[in-house]
Amino acid sequence: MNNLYVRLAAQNIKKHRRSYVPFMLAGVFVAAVSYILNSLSNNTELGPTSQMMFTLGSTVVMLFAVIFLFYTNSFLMKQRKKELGLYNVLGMNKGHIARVIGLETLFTALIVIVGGCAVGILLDKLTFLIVAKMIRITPNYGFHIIPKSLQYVAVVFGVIYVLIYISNVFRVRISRPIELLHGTNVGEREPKTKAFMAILGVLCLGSGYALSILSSREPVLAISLFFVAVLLVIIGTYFLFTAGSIALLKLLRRNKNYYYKTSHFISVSGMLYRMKQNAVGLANICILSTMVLVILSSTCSLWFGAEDMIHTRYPADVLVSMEDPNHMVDMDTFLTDELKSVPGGSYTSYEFLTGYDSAEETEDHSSAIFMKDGTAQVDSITRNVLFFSAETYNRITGENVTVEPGTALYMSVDGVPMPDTMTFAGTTYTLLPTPKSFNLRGRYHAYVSKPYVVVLPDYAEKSQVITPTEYYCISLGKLRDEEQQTFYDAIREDVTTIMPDEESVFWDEDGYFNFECRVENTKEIRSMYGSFLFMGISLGFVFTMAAVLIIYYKQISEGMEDKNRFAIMQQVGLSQKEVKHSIHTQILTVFFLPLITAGIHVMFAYPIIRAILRAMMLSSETVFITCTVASFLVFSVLYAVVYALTAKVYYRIISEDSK
Amino acid sequence: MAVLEVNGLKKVYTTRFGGSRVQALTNVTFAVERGEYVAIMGESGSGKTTLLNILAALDRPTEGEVFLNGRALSTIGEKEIASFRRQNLGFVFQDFNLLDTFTLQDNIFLPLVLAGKHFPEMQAKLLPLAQQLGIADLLQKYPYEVSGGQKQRAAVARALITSPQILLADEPTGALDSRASDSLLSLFGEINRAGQTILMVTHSTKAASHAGRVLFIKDGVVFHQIYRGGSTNEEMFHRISDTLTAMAAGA
Repeated sequence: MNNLYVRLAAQNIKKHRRSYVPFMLAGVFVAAVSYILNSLSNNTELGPTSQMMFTLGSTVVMLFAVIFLFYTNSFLMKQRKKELGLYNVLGMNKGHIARVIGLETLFTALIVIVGGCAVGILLDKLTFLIVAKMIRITPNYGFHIIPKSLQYVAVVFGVIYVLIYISNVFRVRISRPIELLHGTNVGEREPKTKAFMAILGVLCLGSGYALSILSSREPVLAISLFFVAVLLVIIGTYFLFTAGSIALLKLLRRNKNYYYKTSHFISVSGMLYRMKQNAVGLANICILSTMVLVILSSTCSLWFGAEDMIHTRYPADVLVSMEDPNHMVDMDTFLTDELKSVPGGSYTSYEFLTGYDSAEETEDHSSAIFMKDGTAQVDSITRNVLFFSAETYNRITGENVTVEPGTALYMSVDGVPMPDTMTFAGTTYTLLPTPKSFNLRGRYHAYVSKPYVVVLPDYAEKSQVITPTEYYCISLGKLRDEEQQTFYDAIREDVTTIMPDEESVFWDEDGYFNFECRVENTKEIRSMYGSFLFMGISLGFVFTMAAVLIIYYKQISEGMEDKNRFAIMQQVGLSQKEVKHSIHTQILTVFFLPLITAGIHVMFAYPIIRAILRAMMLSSETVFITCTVASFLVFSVLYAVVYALTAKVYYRIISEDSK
Repeated sequence: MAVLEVNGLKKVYTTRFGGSRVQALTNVTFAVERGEYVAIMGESGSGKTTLLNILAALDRPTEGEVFLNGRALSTIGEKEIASFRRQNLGFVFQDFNLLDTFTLQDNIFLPLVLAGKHFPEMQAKLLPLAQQLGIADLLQKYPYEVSGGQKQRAAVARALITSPQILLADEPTGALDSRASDSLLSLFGEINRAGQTILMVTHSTKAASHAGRVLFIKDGVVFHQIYRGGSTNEEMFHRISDTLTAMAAGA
């Protein structure tokens, strides 16, 4: 008796292999990715930054696996309603059916867990080597199996499939056999026009797009509004696909002269029918595609922009910034001394005052006040203001400007409009734009909200009010990376000997000393952006696979639906070629709608992501544009290939049985 | 003059690998005059459906020829065939074959839209037809919202709206209950009296008893035919039954 159930379950999977094989492959794939990410997150060789990133990634993948496997499972079960009803009618009670389903789920779970772990183990080392290469660490060679990760995959996917089993049994329990029998051909209702939802969809999408454009100037806003914008766009997409498309098609149908044309007649009614069944699926595909594009383009940009970023953030080999009102250290003598041993070693220094853009002047005059005249108030972000002397400004830009008393030159950032006047430490200046702007490099480049730069005519006077910051850019000639690190460690050691106490190297009530070394931080940046890229690619793969599977299932179910329509149309007097053409056009439209919409989403997402990337120090716009366009092209090609392959399955189903 | 002439039709199906050959039609010859109402009877497997498919130009005969209004179907090219079918033939099927994506009205319009007709013209044709068929109130409904008999009436309307030379019906009462069948058959009678040529394939004695002439097909040939003459439907019913009994007895 038990044997019968096992045989039945095995046969069912075999019979439904067209649906089951992709379901299992998807499971294996997600399980393998989970294994790899988990094993990477346990890999101490990669360092804490990367490990943390991979832990995060594997959590995202796990959550996604739950949603995704449930979604595809519900598709499978819907297809099998009739068959399960038949078992019931033939005398199996619900307990028996539950047993068959249980065995099927068990087989699936075993294949997914074992297969996922196997693929994971095979690819684990390879991915680790790739990640290691990306973040430039030397990996230990050798083949490892991580028991902890195996256990993780087994537990996570075991639980997922148990939940799936429970939901399937529940599905069978609450259904009556007659419903199960007629499950696949319930009367298709005419989709209702939901004008309210359609309008809401347009509003959500519009405000999502608007948020992206409005917050693009201000990275702080961009970061805080990003998820709101994403949410609005997702809701908008769902509403527009489900309600908007139907409203539009119905509008077309109401126009009799348009509707009753050979080409429009079949396509409009067909699309109306298709949209009702597929709207959610299409919205899912669209959102997944958008996610893939956004993730890929931004992580690629960060990675390819990393070297540029490193050189902007660390414009010299070693950087020292110092606020030393009590003149405890003579940094010039110290550095000249230290650099004696370095061939080709040299340094330059800059001096500036740091204030804040605030609403009210503080008592000690330490902050700048911008009188915004009500015209320039775009946000309430507090930014730093760096005050330069004309001499320093000229040295940086190569200009030769003089600043008239009572005026100051103002260099705008992030496109914030220039205010008319500014009050600083009791003096009011009329602001004029700087003749030439420059990119702030060094530590200020890492600020999420970039500081304004103001060139003062009476700089020396104001430097009595605020302690100037000295910024030293040290070049170490042709020293190799390890030697640079050694030099850096040495001067940090040495500076403590001339300080009153060791703590003051970083912070003291009387002074502020900060040492930075490019070589040391390069590792960290590479490791961070390398893991970002790797995460981006793995998530991109997972989401792409999900989109592909939804597309595939859509084609199968549509093929089954269209088979009858195809035959009837021919009998009524449509030639085979016309029918094929009509169906092809409809599918093409329905199929590429999500891709086109995803493209539009990405276009509108561009400003906000650009702002966020700028906050993450990516200054090169070209890199981002290139990565976005390249991601879109690669994804479109992949999408088209998937379309071609699944369309084949579709046409095979169409031409089955109907001669 | 004969609307439809069928001359020595033979159809042999060969399985894909050329193994076994099945002879569906051996030698079928008959003619249908304009305004006639002909029923073709035969058991399952007697070749009825094959014959109908060939008449509908959905299938081609191995030998023989079909003439519609004197034009041989075999001379019509692959490109032209769909529009030829649309202009000259009307179909009614056992399972209605209405498209779920269309309202009844749009289902009925389908052949006209395919022929590139304009909406006012279609509307003008539809209204009297819908009145006659008793579906005027149902035009905006979808096929899944109406009963089988109503669906079949819509299918008849779709077949008639192009004013076809001949209406081909394949077991039109096969999926209907007896009341809906009766009503459909009297409708066919009415349409026929108005001048429409009808060729119906059926194995229902009752359906056939409404026809003006009944052809019996057995083993791929026209085995026998009976004319109504002055008989009532009831008398026809008995004559058909007797013929079927005789055929079954191996006469």
